[in-house]
Amino acid sequence: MLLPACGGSTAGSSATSSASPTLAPAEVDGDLNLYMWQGYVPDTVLKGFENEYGVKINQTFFGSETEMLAKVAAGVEYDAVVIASNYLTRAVPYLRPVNHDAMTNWADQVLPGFKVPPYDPDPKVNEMLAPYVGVPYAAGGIGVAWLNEHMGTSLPDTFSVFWDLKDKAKGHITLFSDQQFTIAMALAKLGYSINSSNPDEVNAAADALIELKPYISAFGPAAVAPVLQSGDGWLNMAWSGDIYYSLTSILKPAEAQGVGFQMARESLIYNNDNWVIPKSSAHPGTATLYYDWLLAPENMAQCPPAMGYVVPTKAGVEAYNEMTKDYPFLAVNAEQLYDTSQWIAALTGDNLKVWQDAWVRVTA
Amino acid sequence: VSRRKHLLWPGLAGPALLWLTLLYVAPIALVLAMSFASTDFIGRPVYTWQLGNYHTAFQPQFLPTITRSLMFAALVAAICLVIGYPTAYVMSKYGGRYRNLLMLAALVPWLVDYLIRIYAWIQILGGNGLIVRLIGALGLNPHGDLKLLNTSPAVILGLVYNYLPLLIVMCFVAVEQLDDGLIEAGKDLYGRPLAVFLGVTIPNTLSGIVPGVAVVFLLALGDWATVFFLGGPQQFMIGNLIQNQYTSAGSLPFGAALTVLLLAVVMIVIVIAAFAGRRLSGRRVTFV
Repeated sequence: MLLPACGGSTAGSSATSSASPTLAPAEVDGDLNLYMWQGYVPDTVLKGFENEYGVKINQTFFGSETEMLAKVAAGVEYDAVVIASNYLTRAVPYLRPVNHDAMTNWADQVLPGFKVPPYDPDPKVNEMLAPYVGVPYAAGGIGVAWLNEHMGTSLPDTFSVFWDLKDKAKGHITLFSDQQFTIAMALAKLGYSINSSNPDEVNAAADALIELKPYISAFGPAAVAPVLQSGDGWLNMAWSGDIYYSLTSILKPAEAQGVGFQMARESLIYNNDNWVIPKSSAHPGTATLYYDWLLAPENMAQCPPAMGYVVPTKAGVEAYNEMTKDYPFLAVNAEQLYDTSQWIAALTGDNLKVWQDAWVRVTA
Repeated sequence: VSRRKHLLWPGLAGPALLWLTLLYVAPIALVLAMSFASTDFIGRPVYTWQLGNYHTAFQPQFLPTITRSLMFAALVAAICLVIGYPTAYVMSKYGGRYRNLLMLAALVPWLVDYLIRIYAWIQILGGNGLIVRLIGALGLNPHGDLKLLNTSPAVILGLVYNYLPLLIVMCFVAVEQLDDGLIEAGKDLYGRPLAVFLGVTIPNTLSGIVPGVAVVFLLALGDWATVFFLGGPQQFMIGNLIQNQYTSAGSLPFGAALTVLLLAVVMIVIVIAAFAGRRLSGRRVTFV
C-alpha cells in the first residue's frame, strides 16, 4: 500500500492527539465487555480470568469486520475487541494505546517481529499501529483446498490452479466473496503485489477473475467446510485456520481424508486478528489485565487449538506447531510471519476506490 | 373539555408516531444523507453534498445485475401466484373447519430461522444432497456432473420457498372475504366455470392478489441471502451489490445510494399496485 504522507499523518495524528495520553494500569476497573468472533477464546481461559480477578466477562459476537468497525466507531462501550490487521489502520482513530509496560508477559512472550507488527509495507504505518495492539492474536493465510476425488491428491502449489484446472473443476470452484482477499489472490497469481496500488494491475486481476467467472460456482462465505461436505467445492480458496478446524472438528474422518490443502508459493496472503482497546472503553485497566492473562503461556497454549490459527507469541507458536504436527501443510515459521510482503494491508484512499471499482466489474 | 377531547385521539397516536420516527424515518433519513456522502482516506463516510454515488449507480456496468434482479423477482412473483392462489382458494373454499389450521400450516416453515431454511436447501440441493443422490441412484446422472446448487433454478426455488407463504396468506384473506353469492350469481347467469372464475372470482379477490404479488416481487428484488447461499456469480442480484458495500471492503455511501434507488423502485411499485388494485377491483388495496 502506498500511503500518501498527508493521509498517513492524518490517521496517525488524529489518533494520538485525541486519545487519552495516560495509559491504563493493568488493574481491575470494572467488568470486561468483549467483542469478538464467536468461540474465539476458550471458555476455560475466560472463566479462569473471571475467577482470578473476580470480574464478569460479557461476550458479544460480531458477524463481519464492518459491523464491528461501525460499532467501535460509534463509541459502543466495549473494552476488548479483535480487529483484523487489514482493518487496523481504519480503526486507529477509535482506539486507545495499550500499556505494554504494565503487562508482565508482553516483553517475553510476543515475538520480536510483532512488537512492531509487519502488517503494512510501509514501516511508518507499522510504527503507528504498534501502540494499539494489545495481543497479536490469530494469524493465518489463504491457500487452496480441494476434493481429491475430483482433482487428484496432489496439485501444484500455486493459485494458478484455479485458472489452469478451470475446465476440470468447472462449476465447482469457490472463491471468497470478500473483494480484498479474492482480488489479492488474483494479483498474486499474476505475479503482482497482493497490496498493489497500480490500477492497471488491479484491473488485470479483475479481468482474470472475470475470465474465471463462468467456471466459479460461488463467491461464497469464508467457511469452506460446507462446500467440502456437500461435495460442491472441488477447488476452493480457504483460510489455513478454517481448514484445520474443518478437518479436525467438522468433517467426518472419511471426509477429511478426501480433502487436500496447501498454501501457494506466490503469496501466503497473511492476515491477523489483534486484540485492541477502543477509545470508548470504560474499563481499559481490566482489558489490559485480560490481555496479560491471554499472553500467559499456560493460557495461550489453549488458544490455537480452540480457534485454529497461530498466535505470534512464544507459547502461541509452540501450541500451534504441536497441534499441526499431523498437518505439515499448515506449519508456519517466524521468518514467514515477519515477511511484510506476505501480509495484506489496509485499503485506503484512491486505492480503495480502485479495488472497489474493480470488484464491481467482477461481480456485475 | 371539547378541546381536550379533540387532542385525545391524535395524542394516542403519539407513541406509535415516535416509534415510527425513531425506528423508520430516522434510519431512512440517515441512509439518504449517507447516499450524498463521500469517503475519506480510510473509507469512512464524510457527510457532504455530492451526486457521485448516484452517478456511479447509473453506470452501464450495473445493468446486467439490475435486469437480472427484475427478471428473477418477476418470475418468483409469477410462480408464487400460480402456486399460491389456487392453494389459498382450495384452503378457503374446501378446507371446511380446518381452513384456519391449514393456513397456519402454510406458515409453519417461517417458525424456523430464514438462514437455517437456506442452509437446509444447501443440504438438499448439494452435490452429495438428497436429490442428486436420488437422481444418481436412478441412473439418470451417468457422468456424475449434475449440478443443482449455485444455479438460477436453485435461487428461484429458494426465493419462491421463502415468499410463497406471504402470498398464500394475502390471497387466503381475500378469498375468505369473497361473497359466494357473487359466484352463484355468475352461474345463474349461465357463466361457465372458467368464465365465472375469470370474470367474478379473480376480480373480486384482486385486493389480495395485487398486494401479494407486489410484496413478493419487492422482497425478492431486495433479497441477498438466498442468492449468496444458493446462487453463484452468474446470479448476482442488486441486494448482493448493496450487501457487498456494507460488508467486505465496499463503499457505504455507494451502498446507501443503491438502497435509496431500490426504495424508490419499491415506492413506485407500491403506488402502481395500490392504484391498479383499486381501479381493477373497486376496493381499496392496502399492504398491511
